[in-house]
Amino acid sequence: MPREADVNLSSKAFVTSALAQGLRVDGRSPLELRELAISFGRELGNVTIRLGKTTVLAHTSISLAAPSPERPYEGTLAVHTELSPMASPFHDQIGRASDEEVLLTRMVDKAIRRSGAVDREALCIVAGEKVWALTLTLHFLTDDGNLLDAAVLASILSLKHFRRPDVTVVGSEVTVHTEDERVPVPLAIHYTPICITFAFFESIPQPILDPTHLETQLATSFLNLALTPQRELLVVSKTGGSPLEGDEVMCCVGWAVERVREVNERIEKALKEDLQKRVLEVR
Amino acid sequence: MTSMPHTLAPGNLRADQRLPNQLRPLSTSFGTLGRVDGSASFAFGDVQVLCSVTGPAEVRIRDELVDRAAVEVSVRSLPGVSGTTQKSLSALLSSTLSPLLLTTHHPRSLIQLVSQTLSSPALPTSQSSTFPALPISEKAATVNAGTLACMDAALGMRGVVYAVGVAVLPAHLPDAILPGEEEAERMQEDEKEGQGEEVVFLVDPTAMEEARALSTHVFAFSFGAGVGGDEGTVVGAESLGVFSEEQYLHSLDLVRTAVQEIRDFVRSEVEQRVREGAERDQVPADAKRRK
Repeated sequence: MPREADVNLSSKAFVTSALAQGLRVDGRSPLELRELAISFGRELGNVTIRLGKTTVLAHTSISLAAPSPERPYEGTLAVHTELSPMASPFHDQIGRASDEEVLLTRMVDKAIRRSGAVDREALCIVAGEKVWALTLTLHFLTDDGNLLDAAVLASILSLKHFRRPDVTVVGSEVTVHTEDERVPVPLAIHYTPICITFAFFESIPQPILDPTHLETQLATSFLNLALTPQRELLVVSKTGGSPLEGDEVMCCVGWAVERVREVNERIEKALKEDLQKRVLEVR
Repeated sequence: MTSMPHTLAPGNLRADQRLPNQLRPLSTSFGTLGRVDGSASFAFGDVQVLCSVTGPAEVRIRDELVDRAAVEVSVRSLPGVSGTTQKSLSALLSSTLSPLLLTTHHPRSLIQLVSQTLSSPALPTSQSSTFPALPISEKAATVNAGTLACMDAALGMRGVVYAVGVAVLPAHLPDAILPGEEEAERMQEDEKEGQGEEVVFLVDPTAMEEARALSTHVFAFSFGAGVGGDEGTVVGAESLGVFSEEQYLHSLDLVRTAVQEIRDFVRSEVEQRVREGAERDQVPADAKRRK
């Protein structure tokens, strides 16, 4: 479908005047996340994240491959993201990716793949010959703003939830064990990247966290911060026109650290509960 | 040839305790997606497909049809690759569903369907294959989800279409879970020798059952006045493998019965939904009238 219509002036005036008083249309305080719901599918690595109405599904799969000649000791991780008209009818399904989609894909790639969260050397089976090739696919089911944070959460949860088949290597002969022979093995993950997005509005000093679709349409610039629960910064991305002071950025980092800590507790708890429900031992 | 175990356990039961012509537990959900006009999911057990429908909506000039709505169908599977298997499923969905939509009611507009597989437990493959075939229950679930999503979007339809898959397996199977190279060769030789060998027909097969199948079939039936009535008529058929005419027609009959079960199930789900909606919308008896 062609371009989405701009937000009408009355809505714009209402939302911005409320924000000037520190109020948000859905009743949240400026630095409050929407309700986070985590659900796991039957297969390991199949995770659905709901942030308010924004829904993202992540799926991890693995296969054997030859390593790239420049990096014979490393496995590979590929991240596929594709916006479809299911998320919002204004996303074209045909090839050409919109700016928004490109930004989203690159941020997820930086936070999950390029940050080195997943240990790729641990994916090596026989150096130079056989490695594991991981594929993480993200499906966007509903876009009610802030797909990025939901996507990064879904991604890291899916990778942490996933179990790969166990292998035995004798010389250069590789035996891949099925689920019935040996318990599948978790991936080696160094840290948990979690992304927090801030939206800024013209002449309003206080930024908001986790914007909805409506707030996203009206915001003038965004700050995406990917951090770990150990208070390390992975990615900082600021987009949009209005300038931002260095102090403001540091302030946002401080708030983000708090949120990341809370979110991390949630996801660790959800992972633990789900894995307890599953029978992962050899019968 | 050593005596090989039967595909079916005593009592005619499959690995998951089902009868050969029994479907897995069906489940549906409606209206779960926020930014589209209609959405629904359909599941055979844990093979679940979600479909969204937007329309009638603004159409690009180049896709515009002057006397009817243009219908755009896109299929996404879990691993995210988009190759010929997805295009072929999209063609199946489009050819079975589009004729049932009253597109002439909405000229110069667009009806956009997107189908997304949410869950489809597959066999772990040790060989990487670029475009693995989709399990037939996933294909059947996609067609069913498509119909339900169009219903949820309140599009005018002259009928509905439901699909089910059938796998034809040899009655006796070797011990290996997945046939290795030697086994596969031996099985092929056996097939050529004994065309009249015993087979079993498994309706709504799991991925494991499908892996051992001699042939697989998916049939889509449409129901509605003038498009199949109450018994249904075949509008889509896809088969893969080596099979006889007899086996083909028997599979068709099995599906004919199975889709009626799906039709009845969907009817009761929709009835319940409408009833709940009516109860919700009822004004309480003591509500004050506005002056």
